[in-house]
Amino acid sequence: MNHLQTTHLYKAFFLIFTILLSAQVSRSQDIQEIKVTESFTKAPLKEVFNSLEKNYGIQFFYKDEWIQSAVVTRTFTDVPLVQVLNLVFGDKKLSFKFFQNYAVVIYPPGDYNNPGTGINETQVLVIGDPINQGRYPKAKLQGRVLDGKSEEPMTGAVVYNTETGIATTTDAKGKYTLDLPTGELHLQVSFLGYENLNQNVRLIQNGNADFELFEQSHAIAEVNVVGKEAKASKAQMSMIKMSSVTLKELPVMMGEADLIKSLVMMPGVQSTGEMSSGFNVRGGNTDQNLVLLDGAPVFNTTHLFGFFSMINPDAMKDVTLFKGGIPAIYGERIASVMDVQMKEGKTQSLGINGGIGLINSRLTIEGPFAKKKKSSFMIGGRSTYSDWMLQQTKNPTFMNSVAHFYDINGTANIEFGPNNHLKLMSYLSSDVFNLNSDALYHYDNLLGSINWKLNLSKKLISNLSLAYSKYDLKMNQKDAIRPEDDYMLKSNIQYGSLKYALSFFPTDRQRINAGFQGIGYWINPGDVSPSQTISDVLHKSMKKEQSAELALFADDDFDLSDKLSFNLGLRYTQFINYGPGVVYNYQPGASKSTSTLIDSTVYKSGDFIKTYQGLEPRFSMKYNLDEGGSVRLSFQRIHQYVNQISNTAVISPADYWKSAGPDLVPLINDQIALGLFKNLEKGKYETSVEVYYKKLQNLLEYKNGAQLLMNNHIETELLTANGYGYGIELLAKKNDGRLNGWISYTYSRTFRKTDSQFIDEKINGNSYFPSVYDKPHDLSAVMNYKISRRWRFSGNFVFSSGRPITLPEQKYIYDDHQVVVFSDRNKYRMPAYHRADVSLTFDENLRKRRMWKGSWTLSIYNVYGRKNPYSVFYKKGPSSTVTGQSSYDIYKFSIIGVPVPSITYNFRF
Amino acid sequence: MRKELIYLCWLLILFASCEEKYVPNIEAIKDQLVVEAKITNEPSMNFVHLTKTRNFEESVSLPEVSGATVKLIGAGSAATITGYESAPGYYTFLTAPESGKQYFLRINIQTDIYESMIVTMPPLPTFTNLRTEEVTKTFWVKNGDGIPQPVKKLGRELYVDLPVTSSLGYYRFDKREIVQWSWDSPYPFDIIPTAYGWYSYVDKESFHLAAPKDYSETSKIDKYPLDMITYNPLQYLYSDTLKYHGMILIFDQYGTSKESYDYHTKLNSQFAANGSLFDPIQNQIVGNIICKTNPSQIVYGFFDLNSYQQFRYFYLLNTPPGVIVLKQLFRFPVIPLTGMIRTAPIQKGLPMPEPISPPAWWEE
Repeated sequence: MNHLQTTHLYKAFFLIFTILLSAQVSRSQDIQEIKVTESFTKAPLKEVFNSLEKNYGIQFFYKDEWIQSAVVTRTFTDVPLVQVLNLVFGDKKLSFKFFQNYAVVIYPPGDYNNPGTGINETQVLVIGDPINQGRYPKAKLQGRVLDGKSEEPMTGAVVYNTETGIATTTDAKGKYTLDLPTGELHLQVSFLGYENLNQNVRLIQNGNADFELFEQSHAIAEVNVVGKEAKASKAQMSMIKMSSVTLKELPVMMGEADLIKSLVMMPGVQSTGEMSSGFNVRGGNTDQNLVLLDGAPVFNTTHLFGFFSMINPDAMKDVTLFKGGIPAIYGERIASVMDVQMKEGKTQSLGINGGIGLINSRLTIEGPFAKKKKSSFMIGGRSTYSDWMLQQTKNPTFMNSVAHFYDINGTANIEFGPNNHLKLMSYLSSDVFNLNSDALYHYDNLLGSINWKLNLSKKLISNLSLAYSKYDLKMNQKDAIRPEDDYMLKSNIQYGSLKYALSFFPTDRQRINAGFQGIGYWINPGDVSPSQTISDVLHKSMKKEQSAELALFADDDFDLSDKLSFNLGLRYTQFINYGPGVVYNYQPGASKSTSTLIDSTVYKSGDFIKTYQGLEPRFSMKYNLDEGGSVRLSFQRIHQYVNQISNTAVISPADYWKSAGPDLVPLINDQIALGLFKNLEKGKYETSVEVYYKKLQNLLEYKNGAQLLMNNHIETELLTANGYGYGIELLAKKNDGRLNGWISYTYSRTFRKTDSQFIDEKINGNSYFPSVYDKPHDLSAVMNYKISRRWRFSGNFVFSSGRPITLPEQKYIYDDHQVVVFSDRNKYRMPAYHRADVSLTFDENLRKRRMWKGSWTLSIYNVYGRKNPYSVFYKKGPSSTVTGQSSYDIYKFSIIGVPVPSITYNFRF
Repeated sequence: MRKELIYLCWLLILFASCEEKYVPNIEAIKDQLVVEAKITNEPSMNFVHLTKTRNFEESVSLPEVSGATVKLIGAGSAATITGYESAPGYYTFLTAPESGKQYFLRINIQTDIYESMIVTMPPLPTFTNLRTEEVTKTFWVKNGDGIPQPVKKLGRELYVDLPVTSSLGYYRFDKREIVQWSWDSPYPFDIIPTAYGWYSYVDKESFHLAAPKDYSETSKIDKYPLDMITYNPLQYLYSDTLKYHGMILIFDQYGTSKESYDYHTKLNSQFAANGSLFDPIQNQIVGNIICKTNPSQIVYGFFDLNSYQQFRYFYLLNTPPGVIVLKQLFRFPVIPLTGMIRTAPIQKGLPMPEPISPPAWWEE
């Protein structure tokens, strides 16, 4: 037996001995309190042990094979031994125990004490100098949560103390802070898509602890779930957080994870159907949602008439949707704010994400600008090959159609220092489509933003944001017979914003935000020009609109007590519609029409045509219940000064925007909401109930048969309506376990009515009628089941009431044609919508630290082939073979009437 | 294999859309007055037809409204023309309104009074520069499996130019194609043609409207497509044993107002609705007549005051490079929609039937 074998035998003996006696082993204060001053750079663990043995007289017991690949890069200066070992073993799946005040016994990975879900539960992380044990009743624990593989900070990870129920989430830098009672505590660190980390902590005094989380074996996507952002208050309610991991686990059509389609699975968020642009929040119109991409608003959120959201899921960092209790820092739209943060890029290494699907593919590249530098970039893009596919069909409608898109997005994240951070974002998308007609539609989104965050002090943070957005629509109308009559119609909206906010943290329990925002809108509602050199088309332009929106805002977010938190906010807005412009004046006391037009007033450049202003109080309150839940209350008032002009059932890309002015007063929404929130079993289950009531003023409606396009007298076609909405939203969610998911149910109503004395300005005789987005019942159920470490099954089911429609009620004959008389507006309702989708995902490899990760996802959308109606309409049916006459009937049209399978390969490098 | 895969994808994804009849439960509503008032400069064509609406699911015939008093009232210097009920619900007029003068319609039904907007009688319509161009058009015809198949038709499109003036810039057309044919007995002892016949093709799918092009600055509606006639006569004949004798084209041209044009455009829009993406929300089509005694009562229909002129042409097309005959006709006999003249059958013991001639309006 050589010396080495003898040593191994000796250590093994001690190992067995210590395991048997471990229950009786008492904690040794002396050895733990030994102050260590050492520096290691890529030192093998064996070398670390040897150094500690040599310099501090400590004996380590272990097997060499347990520590072969482990290296340490750390510097310790007077750090207690127990903390040194915590930090050394933190990410290595090894654990340790002190033995008889002179030895440390190392436990191997997979030991019975090690549950294999992160760091050993029995291992105690000691924070503070043991000599101060019992000296402080409370202590502040802070640190960072990092991705164990990339060492990227994780935003929105939850750090939860199970004994006290105190929890927090990490900020954009992955940092957290917890005020906890000292003593033995258990912390749970979690993040969707990552393995939970359970950590026992002995908190002695203020100190730091960083945690590393590792992806679950199946998780391909990175990050997300939004945490406690500076913009959201502690009392915040009516807020939806959706991680891209959750998003990517949902079954999807054509294999593409989709932000908006995922959000509509949450309570209070709906859409009008499969091919609908945007989404509807609490019965609001699509144009009442402010969708921000790193602070820049998006005016058309979809590609391919609603098949895809415009946001590349691989490029997204996190998303927060505010349905109510919207913080004062936000305004502009009355129904909701969806704040999407784009990825900043990895700071440690280059990474590539992508996916190859049936109809489109995507690729995202991210990484540091230079090695070991904190500044980073991300660039991503998507493109379709749908045109080629369309041409392969023998369906005339599709063959004569064109449909394709691409988008490119990029960010640059520049770190001037630990407290000085600049983020640049740009986004470009382009869609072209033609649905079997002579009109070719082309629309582009161009967005850019600059966000500069500067920590002026530990208590004062400055945020400066510049944003630009432009939405362009072109319609190229071809004349099949006379090219001289071809024309191009263009419209666009441009938006520029400067926002400055200061966040002041006077105490740990208070945050004050204050700032201002200036917005400029430049709208070209329409412009027609000839598309041929030799043309008979006359150039025609609609009145261009220029306006400015100024806002001052402040809110105070504070804890009145351990149980009571408030957020009080106020936003003041002023809107100025300025010249040049022409305002038409109509005969007083008469309905506006070209026949009642009297004269016009011409305004020079810079003249104020019309101004509006308003105060927008915001209020949120949270009361923590004894049982661990909370009751929350919120109120908000918001003004909206721009509207989308559309009289189609769903928003189309051809719809244009119009700002408030002499003939269009701003929308006003007052909303009050009350909610009960409760987490059960240490956050394993999440439940909530919210009720809301909203009052809507100055909603936009249209006269019967309104002519909206290229109408310089558009005000003669517009009506003003008031309305209200109410609802109850229920959510039950299971966050952990092999089976997780949620079920949500919403009952909501929304009505509106005109209030005019003129017949042509009355809708349904000035009675309340349901809005087109009034869908009382809305149920969504989502489940994910981990079949094994490689296989995962997901399914969802949605049910909602059909949306209101106007149907033919009567008919008559005119010139040998059957003509129908339609009912009151939105008197009837479409059949209910329901659908189930499933998906099965297979992960190619499980190794956590493997660079290339790929997965195959097979999805079936609409698994039982429900023919959900997209539209119900009246049309001429097929001719009778006997009489040759056509019949007229009501039909329903389903876009997806069969199960739609798709397969996608997603990868990450 | 590639092809099959493509089909598989698209059958599953794009052909997944479908359309089917839907029978909602629709509420029964009280009927309303419908006025179809067609007034032109041609008295024999003028009428006002009064009916009522019926519920959508009902199949009973339209209820006619009898006993009304109908007047075409001249505004300013125009004379009032009184109608009389020539058939239940139909009111006709002995005289016609004058071009350039203004009229409105007044209807009295019991105690209710209905009146139209005032409309100016337009000048007589016309067109110029009738010409043809060879075109190939693709039509989609469903095959036996119900799958649409492209069918190309080669023929000639008839174009005209329409003047746009301050008093007349909108037009509507009715068109009728009368195909002339004869039938020769296949038996050698039948020495004469045994039949002359004709069919009419009337396109009533929608209203044929003409207006200045959007955003156009021209003073005429240039190259308005009147009709397309294919080279292959068999596409007009029911049997290939029939001999084609050309075609009489009848164009009824109406000079109309912008309001009438808009009204008929809305009707066309309703006829053409197919539930496609971005279909406008369906709206009521309300005309230019109101109830004076009860303004909340909606009146459907339209007072359509148009100038009218009929143009006839004879067209004979053969497969290229055959002769193309196009001539304007200046006689306007009444031609039934369809008909046939044939010799009496040969009967034993009777003399041979006299050879027959085509009808008097026949063109060669």
